[in-house]
Amino acid sequence: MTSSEVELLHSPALQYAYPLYRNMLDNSIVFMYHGPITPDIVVDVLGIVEERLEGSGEHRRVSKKLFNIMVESFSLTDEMSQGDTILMVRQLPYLYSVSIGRRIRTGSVHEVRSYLDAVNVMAPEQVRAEYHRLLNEGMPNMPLTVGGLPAISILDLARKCNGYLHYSFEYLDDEYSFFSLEAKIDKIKKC
Amino acid sequence: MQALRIESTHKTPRVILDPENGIFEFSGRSIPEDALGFYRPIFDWLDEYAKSPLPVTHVKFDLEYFNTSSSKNILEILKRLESIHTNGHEVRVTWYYDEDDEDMEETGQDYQALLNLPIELSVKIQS
Repeated sequence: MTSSEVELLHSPALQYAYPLYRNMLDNSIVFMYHGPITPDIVVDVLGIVEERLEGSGEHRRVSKKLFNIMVESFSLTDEMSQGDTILMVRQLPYLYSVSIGRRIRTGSVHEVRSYLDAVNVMAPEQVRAEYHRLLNEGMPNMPLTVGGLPAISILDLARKCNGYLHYSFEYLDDEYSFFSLEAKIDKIKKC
Repeated sequence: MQALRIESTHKTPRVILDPENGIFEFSGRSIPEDALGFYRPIFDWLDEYAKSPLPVTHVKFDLEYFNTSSSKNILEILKRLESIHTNGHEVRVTWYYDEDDEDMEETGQDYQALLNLPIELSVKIQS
């Protein structure tokens, strides 16, 4: 066991509770998950979020959109990111924000960034046409990937949130970087 | 030919393929761990049905939500139905969506655009 692991073992958990609570409150984070993503976990997460939305009286159109975005966000995880994925939902006055974060190969960062930049400047009809192309091409079990991520999932998310996806990369080491993608859903106007 | 019936789970849809009455139904959620593993028996069944289909086949999709991995497999199902239709056997597809679910409606429109198959989009009646 390393010294930092020993330190972690003996540190009182409660010292993290309040900063985490404050962070979630200050940033309007209504749901946060860290861990592996499996279909069972997806169903459980959707159930929790559904209950929260019902409790807040959210319009069904917005709830459906949020659900659909969460379902597709999970498609951006794979074996490599298993156990090390985060999902975060923020509820802001006029919008919801769904963020998914996972490790990707540092060598893939440029490819993923270029693809997202290209998608973000596409007109809605172009995103739709490209989505149709990818839906129609290749075998169902072998989707075209961009830096290890299924390109069709990126396009699907772009369509669902009016064509713009926010993203960031954090360099971890030469092998891995942390990739975050955020999809926003307008509560009032149609996305 | 035997009917194919698959009961729904919390991550896979209910599937009924009834060759006697020509009624096919897909309902529920579709986020399987192995999408192709789930849908392959359906493809095989449809390939067999295509050898001797009924004059009219009614197909109903009433899905709650699904991911793009399932979308590709649903397209494969529809392509098989398109082939039956193109060969002179009528296939009528109804794609149900919740009136508040614009994404599900849009997905139905995607399939309409991609296939030469009559797909009717229909708003679900709330029970």
